[in-house]
Amino acid sequence: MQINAFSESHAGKEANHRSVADRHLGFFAVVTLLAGYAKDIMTIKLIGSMNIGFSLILLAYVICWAGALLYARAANGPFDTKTKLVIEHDEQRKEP
Amino acid sequence: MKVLTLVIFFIILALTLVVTYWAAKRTNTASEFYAAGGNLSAKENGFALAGDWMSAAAFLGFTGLTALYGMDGSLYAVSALAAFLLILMVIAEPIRNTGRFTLGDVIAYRMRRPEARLAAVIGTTVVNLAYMIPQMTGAGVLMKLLLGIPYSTAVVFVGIGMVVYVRFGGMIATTWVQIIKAVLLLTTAAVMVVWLLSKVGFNPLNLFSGVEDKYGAQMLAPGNYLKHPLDTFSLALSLIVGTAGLPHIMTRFFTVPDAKTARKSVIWLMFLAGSFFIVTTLIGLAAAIFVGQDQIRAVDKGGNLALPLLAQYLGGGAGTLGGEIFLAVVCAVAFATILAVVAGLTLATSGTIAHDLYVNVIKKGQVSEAGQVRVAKLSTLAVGALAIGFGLLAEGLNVAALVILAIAIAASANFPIILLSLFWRRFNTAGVIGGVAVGGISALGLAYIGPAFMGKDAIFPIVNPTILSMPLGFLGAFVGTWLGGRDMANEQRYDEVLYKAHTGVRTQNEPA
Repeated sequence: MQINAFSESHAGKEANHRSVADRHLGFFAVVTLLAGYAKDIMTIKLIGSMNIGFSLILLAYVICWAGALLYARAANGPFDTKTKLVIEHDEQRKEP
Repeated sequence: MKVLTLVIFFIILALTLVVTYWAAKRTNTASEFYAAGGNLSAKENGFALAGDWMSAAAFLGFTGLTALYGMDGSLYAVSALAAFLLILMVIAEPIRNTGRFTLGDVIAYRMRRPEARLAAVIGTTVVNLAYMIPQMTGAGVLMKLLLGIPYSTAVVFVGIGMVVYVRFGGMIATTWVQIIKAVLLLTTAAVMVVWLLSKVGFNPLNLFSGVEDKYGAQMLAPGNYLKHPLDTFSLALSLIVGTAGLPHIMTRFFTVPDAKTARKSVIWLMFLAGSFFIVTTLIGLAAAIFVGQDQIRAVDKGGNLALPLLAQYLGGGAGTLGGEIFLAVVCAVAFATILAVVAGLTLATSGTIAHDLYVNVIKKGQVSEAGQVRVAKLSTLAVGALAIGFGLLAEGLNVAALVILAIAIAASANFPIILLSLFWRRFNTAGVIGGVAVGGISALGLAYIGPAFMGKDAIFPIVNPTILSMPLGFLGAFVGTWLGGRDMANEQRYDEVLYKAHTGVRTQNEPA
């Protein structure tokens, strides 16, 4: 029954990844809908001729990169360790 | 200038052919042909992925759109980066763990039915051809415009080039061609950005004010290119989920040894391609200021030559030695880009025909190792011939419309079945067929009655059909699953699929 032990440890990982992905993609939905329906807001100037629209696009790059690094940190650290433990645990149980 | 471009291009070509020769000697097994033996490093695969993703559409298209339409071009570019966030978090690792060579492997691993694999073959082939034809057409148009080479000669030349890389060097050659091209492209872009920033006192904000002074604040507003309010959303949705359904991107994850390396290669891609996408905005704005929209339109009304024209300006202008040299370099890199991308597409397409259709569906897996490689090489020739044929027929077709079609089909037919195969217990073979059929047909149909093909008389108002066709693809998958009835053996096997997808460990009942 290797799989039950795995499913338990796996649930937390899934929940984390999905909520992170949802939040990032939600941000994109907001920016693109603003571009379609709120052109006045997007063209408000912030610094010089740089407007809110371009600032949000710049922020989107930062969010993508930060999101990728945060994900990689979580995945390389706690989640990979957990997966490894489950695999080792299963292999030990198979041996006798 | 023509001679100079050709000389630089042939130097790049010679380099890639040497790499192909070297790769050919290392390509003996099916795994080496399709997946470079599965032992590329994260950095190698990351550069190759970036090479795949920084296509001519990005290099020439994003810069051109920004030069002519402002913010919409930047929205295109950032969506192309966001696509990989979804791939990183949801798709890359499970795909690496459940597949061997193709998308068909991933679906068949879950379903264990030839019909499911066949549906994946159709999804893969249609998307790849729809993606390949605009690349070939683009190469033809570009060569004709810049070098005066006839369209058909250029298409045949690109076709032969991609077949040579793939037929002889398989995935190893394709990977290294991508890596070389990625390095060339990033270097060119870096030189260009430093150069253009030196013209505005190294302050990027001056580019924004420069555009405003010359063309008015409207140029910095959204909606100059994408007219319908929902267009931007549908486009971003299409790029984000469609990329996760592109088979030639997916096959890149089979070239690394484990999920961790797959993950790291996406991080490499996101920083390499992302930094390129972000500067396409600066290049586009600079082209609008220094070259001018009228001149960009005069050369190509789609704006695709904004970047080459800016290179010419930065080098010193038309007729000067510096200008001609920089222009020639940029053109040669653009051709190399197209060649590398079509090679990746050719490999993914011949993979699905040889490995999925012939070896697994027709021969039920009973083919020797040498036989598999032979069939793979043979199908490369067939795909090449097909691509050249379609490329010749497609002369004069709107390149952008075909790209929209490819990515919309990927988002609507392939993405739902990949996601549901990996994450939904009750999903079954009938669901796979329903998803591919309904998603694919609705994407094709809606694009055809949309503005990309019908212009002003469009029945469906949104250029990119994904906003409707992707939900329809999911609906097709759900209805198919429901009609197919419950498949208890398949549902019980789902635990195994999930375990394999997240650990990469082979389970006992798994077929070889």
